[in-house]
Amino acid sequence: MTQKKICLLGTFAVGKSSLAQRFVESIFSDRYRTTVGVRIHRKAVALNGDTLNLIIWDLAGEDEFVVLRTEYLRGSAGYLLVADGTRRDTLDKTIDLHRRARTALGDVPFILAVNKTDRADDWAIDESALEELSQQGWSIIRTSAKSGQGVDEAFTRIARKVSLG
Amino acid sequence: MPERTDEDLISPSTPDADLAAALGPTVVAALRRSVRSDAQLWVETLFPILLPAIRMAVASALREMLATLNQILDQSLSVKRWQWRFEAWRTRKTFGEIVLLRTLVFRVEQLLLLDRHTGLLLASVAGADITPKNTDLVSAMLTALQDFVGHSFGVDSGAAIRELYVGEFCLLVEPGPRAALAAAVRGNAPAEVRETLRAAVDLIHQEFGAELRDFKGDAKPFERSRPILEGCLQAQYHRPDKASKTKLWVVAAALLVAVAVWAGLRLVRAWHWDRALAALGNTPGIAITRSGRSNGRYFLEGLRDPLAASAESRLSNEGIDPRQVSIRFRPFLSLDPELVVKRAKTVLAAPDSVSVTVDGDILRLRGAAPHVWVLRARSADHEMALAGVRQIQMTDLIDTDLEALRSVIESAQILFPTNSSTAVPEQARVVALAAGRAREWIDAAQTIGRTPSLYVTAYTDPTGSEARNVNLRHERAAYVANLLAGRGIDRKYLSLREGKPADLTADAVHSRRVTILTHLDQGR
Repeated sequence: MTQKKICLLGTFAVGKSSLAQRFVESIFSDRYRTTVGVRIHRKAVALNGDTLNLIIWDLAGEDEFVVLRTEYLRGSAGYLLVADGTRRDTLDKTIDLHRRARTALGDVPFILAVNKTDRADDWAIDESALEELSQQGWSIIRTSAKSGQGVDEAFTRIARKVSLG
Repeated sequence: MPERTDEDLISPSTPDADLAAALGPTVVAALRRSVRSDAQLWVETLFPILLPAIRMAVASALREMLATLNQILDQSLSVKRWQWRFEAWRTRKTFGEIVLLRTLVFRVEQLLLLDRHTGLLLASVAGADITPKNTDLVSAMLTALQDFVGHSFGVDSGAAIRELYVGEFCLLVEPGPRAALAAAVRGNAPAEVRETLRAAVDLIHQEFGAELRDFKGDAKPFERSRPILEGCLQAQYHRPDKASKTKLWVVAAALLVAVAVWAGLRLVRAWHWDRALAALGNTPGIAITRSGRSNGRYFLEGLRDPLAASAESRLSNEGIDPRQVSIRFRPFLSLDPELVVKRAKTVLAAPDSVSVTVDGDILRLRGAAPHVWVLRARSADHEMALAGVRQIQMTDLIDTDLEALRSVIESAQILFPTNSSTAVPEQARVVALAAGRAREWIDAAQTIGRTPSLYVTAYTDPTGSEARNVNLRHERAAYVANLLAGRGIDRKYLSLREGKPADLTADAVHSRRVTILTHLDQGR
């Protein structure tokens, strides 16, 4: 079985751990627990008759106290950028994270997951911003770790991208 | 020619089975030649197939060995082993597993070969009885931990965590340029283990250099590294030294001696108990109805005559502490002769001059006793009946008072003058004394159920004719009888007798006399 390392990047409290937990264990908790350092998950994904073992590194979210450790990115076949749809500034920070990840990893596959689509009333990211990123070649998926919307698709898509690498 | 498929060529049911048979020897020869010319090729080809089979066989053998070891250890004696046995019960592991764990010096239980760049797992092996879990996650976490520590403490990126200690485990990490080998070791591993890991890492880099360089997540090429990793699965156990074996034998011998002593003491105690029971059973007045041992204590139940010897003294005589015995006796009257005699002596207050014996249900009194006691003994029939005595026999018992009277009576001599049947007046005193005693004697004899008789016996001297002496003897006896009757002796008790004629040498005065002889019938 082939294995691939992928990382979850994003600022704090965007739902990285919730997305990983929803994808790996199919569970969601409203309770917020900040990730310290890194949490590592494993999930086997079926792709075209083969099985790909995804080793998912859920990195601690960046804030004024915690800075992304690019050492954790080493060897990643791809990464999942996560932004919080109810906080506009998380998208800008995600773009910055992407730039730093690119510097560390080079041109590896990535996907942007705009999370918390279940909170439509609080949505703060306009479609034009996402459209602009799409035109830049970004692959964007709207997700909700709470409802599960788009979660499997996001990981499956990144799995497919890295498997081609 | 018709088209043939491979299946047709090898199927025995087809006519081309002959072709297969024909090609067989050629193929075999080719194989043999190939093996001789390039054995290594065959080793590398067959190794992935043989290795799993060998591992299964080794695992099976180890399991059998563990089972045998378990069985052997079960039969050994040791305080420590009993502790391990308790631990096995508590932890629900086999005894053999606990022994191996406790005698363990060190054991390499798992090995992980990981890619240092990605943290992905390349290969892993584990001991036969170890079930590895989440080895790919462990590999990733180890890499993450390495990165975390390196970043936190400003350690050179090329440096690596070499050792981690968790409980009784030590994780030894031997890094190479591209791959690292992590060994989970239980116990205290010597330096040689590190050297073994070092050599293994070097060999892997040597054998799999290209695969490591080109690694992009597919770990299949590294399956071939498993033999190298399995060579690092080492273990070392404590060997029981001779001193501990000697100690074991000493303990076993001491236990054996203790058991033998205990058994011996129990046997001796049981022997004493049996003897005590036999002695009690032979004791007059004691009847054992039930005996035995209950709750670690001997017990006795039965019947005991109050006059019987005490059970406690009997037990003590046989070496049994009566305080250790529960004794319950009910009182009863024993008909044992010994106790009947004892009881009779007590009831009759027999003096020492009287012997008391029992013959069936007849109590025999022999010896001599005062008249008062004899009278009392005669009236004790009812008292002795309870003791099983039907009759008290005193025919051989001398009434000492009667004897004294008899002696006085029979010592009296009434003297007569020559050729006279009338005593001189001075003899009246002798007659009076004899009569008085005779009256007492007769009364006393009757009170004890004896029938008295007085034989008035007359004698003559040798002078004169025999015819005249016969008359004289008769007249003299009659004379004394009359005197006795006159003094209150009933004539029915009196009988007249002629004494033997005196010879010429006899004293003439005392030859002319009358004496009174007494007689009592046997009575009862």
